[in-house]
Amino acid sequence: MPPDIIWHVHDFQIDPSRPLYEQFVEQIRAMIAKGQLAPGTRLPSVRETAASLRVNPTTVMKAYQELERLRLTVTHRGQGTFVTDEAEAIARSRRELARTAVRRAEELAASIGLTLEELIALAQEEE
Amino acid sequence: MMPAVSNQRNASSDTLLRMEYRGYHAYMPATTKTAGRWALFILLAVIASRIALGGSYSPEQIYMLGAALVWMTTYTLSALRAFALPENPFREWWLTLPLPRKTLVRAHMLGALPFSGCLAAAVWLIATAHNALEAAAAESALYADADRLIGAAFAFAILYAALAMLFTFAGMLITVAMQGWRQLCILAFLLLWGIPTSAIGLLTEIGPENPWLSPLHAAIYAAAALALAAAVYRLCLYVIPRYGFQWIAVRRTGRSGHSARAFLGTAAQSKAERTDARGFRSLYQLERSAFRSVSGRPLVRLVYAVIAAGMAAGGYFSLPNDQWVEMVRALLVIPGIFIVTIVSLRFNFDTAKRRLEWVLVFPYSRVALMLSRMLGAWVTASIWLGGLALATGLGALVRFLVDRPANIGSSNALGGAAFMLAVLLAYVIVGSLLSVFQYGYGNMEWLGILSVPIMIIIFMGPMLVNQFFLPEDLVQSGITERQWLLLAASAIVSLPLAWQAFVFGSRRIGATMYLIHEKQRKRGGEG
Amino acid sequence: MKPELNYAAPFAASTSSAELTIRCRGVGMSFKKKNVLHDVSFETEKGTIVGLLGPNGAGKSTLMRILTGLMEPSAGTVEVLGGKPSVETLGKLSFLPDRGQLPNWLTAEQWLGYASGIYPDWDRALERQWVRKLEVDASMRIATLSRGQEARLQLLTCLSRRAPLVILDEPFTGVDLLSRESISSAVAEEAAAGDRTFLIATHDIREMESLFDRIVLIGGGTIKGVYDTEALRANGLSVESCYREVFA
Repeated sequence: MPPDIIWHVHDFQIDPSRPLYEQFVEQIRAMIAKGQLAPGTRLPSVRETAASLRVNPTTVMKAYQELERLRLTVTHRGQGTFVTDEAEAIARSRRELARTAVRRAEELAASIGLTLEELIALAQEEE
Repeated sequence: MMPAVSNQRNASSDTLLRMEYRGYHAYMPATTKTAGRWALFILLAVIASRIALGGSYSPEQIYMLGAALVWMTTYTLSALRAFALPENPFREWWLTLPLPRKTLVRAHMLGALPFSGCLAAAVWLIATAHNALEAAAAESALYADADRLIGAAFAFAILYAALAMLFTFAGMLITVAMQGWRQLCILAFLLLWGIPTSAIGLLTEIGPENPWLSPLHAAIYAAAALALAAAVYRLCLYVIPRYGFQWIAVRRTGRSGHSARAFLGTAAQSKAERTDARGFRSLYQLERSAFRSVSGRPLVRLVYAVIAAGMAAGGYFSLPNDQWVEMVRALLVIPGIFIVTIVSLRFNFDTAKRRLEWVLVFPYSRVALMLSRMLGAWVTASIWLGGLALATGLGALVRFLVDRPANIGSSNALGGAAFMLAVLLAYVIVGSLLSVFQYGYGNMEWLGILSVPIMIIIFMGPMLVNQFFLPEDLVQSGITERQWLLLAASAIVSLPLAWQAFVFGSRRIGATMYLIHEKQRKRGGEG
Repeated sequence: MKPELNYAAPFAASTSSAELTIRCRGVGMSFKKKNVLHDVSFETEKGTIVGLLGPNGAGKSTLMRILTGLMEPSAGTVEVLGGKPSVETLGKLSFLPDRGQLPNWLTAEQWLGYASGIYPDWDRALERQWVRKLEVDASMRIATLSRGQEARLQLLTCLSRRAPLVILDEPFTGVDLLSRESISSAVAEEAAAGDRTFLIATHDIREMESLFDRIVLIGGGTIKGVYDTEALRANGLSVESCYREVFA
């Protein structure tokens, strides 16, 4: 069995004005994409996670359910929840990460009246 | 430059003094409402004393009884106030005022004087009213001489004032006796408390024309008291800044300070094994544990040993002619009042220390909770007093073996002793049950006033019993069957009433506690 | 702030389907002609963590006393665990008093010994578990415990019982950071374990923000709002900002 991991509060950046479970899902997905959570790693139980992150267990459960729905994690009855082994799932998460980043950059560009390409060009300009 | 600084200092200490006075404001007869309460209290006390003490005592005896009362109340209040200094939420602010410690002490002591003065004045009024009524109503030769009455009134007024001052100051000295070797002095403080208590018993015994009680003597006592008061005042100003403040500052609220712990050293309690006790029994054991933690302290054991030795000596010397019966009679007052006081103190401590909130949410009826406290207090008192009784018995036994007196063990004596024991038992049970009534006022403060006469009756109980139930010389006359019947009848009548009062008080104890907290919150600091 | 988020508002949907542990309707409390509480209505569902937030003097403590049956309300109805608060309810309700103190002449071990006899629903296994997790040194005398240590011991006393409803009144006052985290971690874990309901009155909003399912805002003796925390966050509001909007 792969070793357990313990979440720490500083593993996550939580914004209290946005739904918590969404943020957990996003950030766990990012961890998977970055390889911080190796495929097959067993995630802590809902109870352990709630205790170590000091978060409502319902929130944790929703997050885990969402991760399961996105096929990023798999639950084996009686054994726990594991990060998926599917390379396809990991690739999807990386794609999702990239899409979110790009979307944010586009929003930023629009806020100063540029397209994304113009933004990148501006950044690469010499003084 | 210097005068400006000292002027500033004077101004600050004046303000401080005014602030100290202000702490008593709610209790002083300043507004119509509080003055009314004082007047009511005085009136009730006069009535009580007319009933209990009318007819057989000289004016001087009455005044002396009052003097003992003044002694006891001002001393107790002052000592309790001093005790409570570390617990005072205002403590740190007070300690860090930029004023010399002496100034703080002076203001604290002088600030307490007006209230003590009012107490003394109230007692004087009660005694004087009693005497005036006695002179008007009865035909006693003792009260015939108007000059004598006036002279006594005057002399004792000064005595009361002096006593109030003396013992307000003396009470504060207790702050010095709380650390290190000085804790042995606590014995002296206890003695100072015990003297008026036994004096009350003694005064009812000695004859009305005793020369020690004449107004001239009273004037001498007054002068002596005044001189002592001045001396104690100086002593306080010298000694408290040096040694008292350390204790006040160091003692962590509700926790024992390091040095106190080292000396008092609660005997390391053995790792408690889980008992199978459940429910009410656990409540009771918890209560008992509180008392056991007190009795486990070396200092307390020392005091107990000293008292026990005294009792043994008493037993030894009073065996001939069954004088021990009279000794028991004289001491009857103390155990009774002691037990009732324990019950009240437990409530006050637990409210102040906020332990009562936990107790009140135990899943038991209020009556069950209070009953567990009662039982804890009764059993503890029985054990402690039983030990003292045993000591007395041992002393008597030694006398019996060593120097057997001719005359012992008359049936009158034994009957008298049995009767007194029965009286004590009845008084303790009825009195402590009844005393719970005072916790029942909840949001009806007017009910709280009703508890005052009840408490007066309870505390005067032993004296009343001495007066009405027991004959002058127990050993001679013994106890008649009629007296036994009277006792039984009173017990049967008063028990259900006391129980009702108990149930009433228990049910509403939560509401009362919250009222006290509210008041504390509003008043803050002193008070 | 969208008014439909407020459960206390008249047109909000009532949670009649779920099992309710606490149900207050129009509760009022007058004390010597002063209205300490008036028209207090809220509910807590089984298995949720509910926060009771509000400024000092808002009537939180009085409400707690009414919920624990220590005081009778002057108006309205209160239902706790399906009945009127009584001594029987206390047997199923674990209450942590505000600024209360445990008997300080005992050691922690001794206190737990008495507690196990006094509370009918005491669970030794839970006790051992929480002694370990809350890092309570059982041999220490309660008089020598620091504020944080005593707070953890008090919570331990509450959690070692199998009571379905746990009410904590200001569990964090004057408690150090690590003890505070210990306490909220314990609450989270315990909420995950069973179907206990928690009602927590606190000023420490930041520490508990992520724990609450629902918050009840009380001010000036009445309910200013009842909100579902996830619904708030779905609308871009944190618990703290909601509090500020209601009370500032």
